[in-house]
Amino acid sequence: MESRYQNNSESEDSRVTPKKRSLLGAVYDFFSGYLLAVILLTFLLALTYFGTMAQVEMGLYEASEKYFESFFLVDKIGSVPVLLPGVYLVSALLFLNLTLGAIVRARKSWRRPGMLIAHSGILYILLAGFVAFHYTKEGNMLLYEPNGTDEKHQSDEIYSLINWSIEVTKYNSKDEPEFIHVIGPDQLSGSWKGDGSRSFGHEDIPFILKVSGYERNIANGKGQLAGLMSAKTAEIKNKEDDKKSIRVDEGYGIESVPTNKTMEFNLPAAYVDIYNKSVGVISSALLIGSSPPLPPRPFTFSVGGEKWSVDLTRHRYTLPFAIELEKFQKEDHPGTMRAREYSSDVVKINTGRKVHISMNKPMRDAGYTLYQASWGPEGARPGDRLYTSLAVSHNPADQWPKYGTYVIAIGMTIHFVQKLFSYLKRTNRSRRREEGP
Amino acid sequence: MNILIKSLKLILFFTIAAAFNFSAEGIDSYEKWDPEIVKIFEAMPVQEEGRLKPMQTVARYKLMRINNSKRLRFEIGGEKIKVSAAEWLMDCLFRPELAKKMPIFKVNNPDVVEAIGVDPHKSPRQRYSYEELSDLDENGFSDNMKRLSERTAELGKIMEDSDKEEEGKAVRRDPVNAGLLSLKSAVNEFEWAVNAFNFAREGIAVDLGAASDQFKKAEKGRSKVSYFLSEFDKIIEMAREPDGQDFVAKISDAFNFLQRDMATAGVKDKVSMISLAMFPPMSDKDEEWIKPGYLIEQLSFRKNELKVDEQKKFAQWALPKIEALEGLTRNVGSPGFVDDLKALSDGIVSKAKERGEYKNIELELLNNRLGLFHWALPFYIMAFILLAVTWLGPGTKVSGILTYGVIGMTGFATVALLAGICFRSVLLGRPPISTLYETIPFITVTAVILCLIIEFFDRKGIALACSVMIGIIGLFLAMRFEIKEARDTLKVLEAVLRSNFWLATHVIAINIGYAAAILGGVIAHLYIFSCFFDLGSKDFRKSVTRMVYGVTCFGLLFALVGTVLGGVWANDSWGRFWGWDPKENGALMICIGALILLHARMGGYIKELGINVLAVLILMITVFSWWHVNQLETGLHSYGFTSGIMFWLFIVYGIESAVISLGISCHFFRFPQRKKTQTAHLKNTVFPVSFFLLAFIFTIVFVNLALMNKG
Repeated sequence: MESRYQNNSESEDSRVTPKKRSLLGAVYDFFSGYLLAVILLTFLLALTYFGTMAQVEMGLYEASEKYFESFFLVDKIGSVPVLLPGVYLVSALLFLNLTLGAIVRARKSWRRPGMLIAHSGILYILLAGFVAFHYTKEGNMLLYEPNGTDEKHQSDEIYSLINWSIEVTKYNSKDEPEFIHVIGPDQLSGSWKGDGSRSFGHEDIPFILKVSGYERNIANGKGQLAGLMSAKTAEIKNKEDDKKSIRVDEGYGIESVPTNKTMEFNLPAAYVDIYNKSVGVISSALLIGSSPPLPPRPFTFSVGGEKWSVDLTRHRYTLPFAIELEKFQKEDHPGTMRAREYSSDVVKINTGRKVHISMNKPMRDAGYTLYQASWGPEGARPGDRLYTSLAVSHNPADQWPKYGTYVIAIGMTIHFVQKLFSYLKRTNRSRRREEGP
Repeated sequence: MNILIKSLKLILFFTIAAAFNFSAEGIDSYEKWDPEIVKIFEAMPVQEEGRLKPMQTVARYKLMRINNSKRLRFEIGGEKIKVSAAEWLMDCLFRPELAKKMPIFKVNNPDVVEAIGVDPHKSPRQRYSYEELSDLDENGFSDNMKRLSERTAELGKIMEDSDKEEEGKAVRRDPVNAGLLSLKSAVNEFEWAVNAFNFAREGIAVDLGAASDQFKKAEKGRSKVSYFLSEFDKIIEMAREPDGQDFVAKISDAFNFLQRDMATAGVKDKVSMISLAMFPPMSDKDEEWIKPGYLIEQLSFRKNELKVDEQKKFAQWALPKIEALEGLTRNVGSPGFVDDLKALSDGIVSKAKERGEYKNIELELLNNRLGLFHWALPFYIMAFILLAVTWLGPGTKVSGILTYGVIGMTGFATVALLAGICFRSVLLGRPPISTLYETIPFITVTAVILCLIIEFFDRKGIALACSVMIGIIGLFLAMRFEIKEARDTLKVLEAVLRSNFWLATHVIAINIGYAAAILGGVIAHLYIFSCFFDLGSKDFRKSVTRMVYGVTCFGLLFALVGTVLGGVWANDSWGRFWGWDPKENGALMICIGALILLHARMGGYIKELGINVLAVLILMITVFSWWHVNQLETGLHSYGFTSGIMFWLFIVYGIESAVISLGISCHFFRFPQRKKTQTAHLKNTVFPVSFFLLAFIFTIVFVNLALMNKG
């Protein structure tokens, strides 16, 4: 009995090892070949494993940065440092390999369309991943239950759970913000080399803002400001260690605390000096990150008779439309603290569109998606005013993976069903041959 | 074949050991409950963990948390006594002194009981009674229990301190500490059960009549709680009178007793899962059922929360319930008991029926009685034994007939398993998988059915053998997991999981993927063993490989679609398609493993052996994804966390690594065919020996890791 098995691998073999080819041809063969596919998939398998295990120590965010969003990374296997490609690079190469191998080079036959369809689906999902990674804007929105007196149940503002920025605000005579300049997360990220300070200026701002001693986190997992110390403690610490010179401003000094695995728990802090080339230092302060639902704690000062403030806040975006919370509902399973359901009835203010947002049922509008994420305040008693926390994301590739799944499922089903039928036909034939005269 | 007989002996040994009876010290007689009483009691509805369920279910898991089993067995004077969970709970509630004498606490580690000052039993399988553990002095105090409370309170403090994370982990890993903690929670559970109806049985140790002649005289110096509560306003009034101090001094103890018993009987706090929410709420709009302590609380300490007319209404509704429990607990052993219980139960049941909550109770009782999952296991074992017999004389007429027997029994067990899964699905009104426990029977039944389908086409008996083995392993795992968790496996779901559409698509698809990946790995074992031990023909190996390949393709389809669907679900609930969450990564790894296998085969880099070795690797990845990521205690799929199975995971990894090493070693000394040359000598001895060593080292490493993680 001839096995189709061997047939198959032989015919594939002949494709992988072609007759003599030019260098360019060989490169093309490599990039479109099974060998590269197997190598890349093996790397992807190993990296996924390492990245998963690393989350136990590093937390999801940092592990993702290191393994999944990088081109290259150095990982210690045992105690030997090894250079590995990051998942970003591997995925990019896989995309190339798939396009060349499974789409361009593959045999295209109307009688066997399954694999072509399935691979297109995978390409589509990889592309969706790329678009989502580069172009997604994410944040959270807090909306309080309406109480008829304030406007806290309406908002068009979302804030990032991960990124922070410094806002410089100028106030008019009525104490209303007149002008806001944002020093964004990009300007605060990276390592603070040199003397550990960065200066920021702007043509409309009559002073220079010097930020120094920026710490990514000073809070521990319990929400206590573990990195904040009194002037006295700072003095003792400075004496104990010659290399240390903790600066004290407004009676307090800061030192870094290991970042929490959950990025939302991290609270940054920094010293700021407001100075002017002609006058010198006008004012200095210690800024500690402030985050909703707690009110902001800006540092205010005046320059040239005008009132200004600086604040370290979660990075904020504005939605192109405002939302109003009509009703928030939270239901536990009877007699337990296990949430059965929570949902928010909201209205899009400019059009009056009413939407019921619940777990698994987000609101999609104008390219934005609003999800029921959580609620607060934590430990609220019956009768307390609750707020709903909606996660908001703007992802151009939002629905692509869903369509990709359908494509893959259809392609693979066609392929495997065809294979199964041809196998059954063959075994039937050989059985008949065996039973026959 | 010797191995086979040995393993059969082992199975028999375990079956017999499990049914072993223990003679009990301290208990000299046990009077059985009237079956009619038990029947009424079992069917009474109780709300627990957000779900209304029969008392039987509650009792079973309560007992399991203390005794590691759903029923109790002991011996009195050579007579074997079997007590069902419901009967045991009745003993606790209505005959607490007897319950304290019954041997129910299972403590495997003798150091644990020694640590609290109790002489350990000779056999660790022998249970301890509460009386034995507590060893009360004349005043009703127990040094042992005090030691236990102090030790566990200390450990609890360390474990809760987030600054002492490492220390906390070390505490959990230490076998004595872990034993003390689990003994403490078992003791708590038991103490609750025997004290739950104290208020009804004993009343308050204060004679109201002696304090003031405005009140009735109490019996034996004790006033009934119902009387105390009905006169509560009057009592307060008297206490407030200018010369009330004398009266207050006489009854102040009463308030302390009342408060203690009220807490034991359970108030409406959403936290304590231990007391019985056995009364339907007064208002039909309320969903939360009422624990007896709440009735006391609302009639006394928190009476003022209600308006005067509401107070009256509530008292009219609540007092008869307390009186009923008083009547019941004081009537134990008398012929009127059954009528009292029936009256109480009828009231509750008819109200539950009116509220439309009772119909699932009867179904659940039926499900408990049928015990379909437990039925399936012995049938798979019998099928395995028959199968083993057919291997003694392959190809004979007898073995042909026996094979039909195997198919019949496997089929029966599988139908039972499927029916059990359907039962649960109907009871909870949702698709069959939503907790980690539920994945076990589902994956088992899927793998078994896949095997039977393969057997239908292939008819070589290979897949049939696999089906029986998977059935046994899967159900055994389910049983162990249920005992380990000791929590009702029918659970209500968190908000994010409450989507029947996604549970029915993503979860089912991914679990079919798991099942296929595991099945592929299991079948691949046959190839590797056949290769290494040079058993079986080339044709046999070819069919095995074909099955592994087919199952892997099938698994990939489901795993891949399931994984991506999971992303689509996550996109709708958490706002991102892919977040590198451990559980997601685990599923992705299975897909990548299968893709590597298929592409390496297409590229001609692996042949038969390579396919099988990779299939075993995919099996390991699947075990990692199914169980190991839940141990990492990180990530969003937190509804699946469990603890204490690392040991077994590393054992599995150890075994599978050894199998993979065997497979790889085959590559060097089985293929190509042996030649009588120098190099052949190298291939035939040096390579196998070194790979054996490698396999050995792997196994040792994993066993060590397993031991490190034990506890």
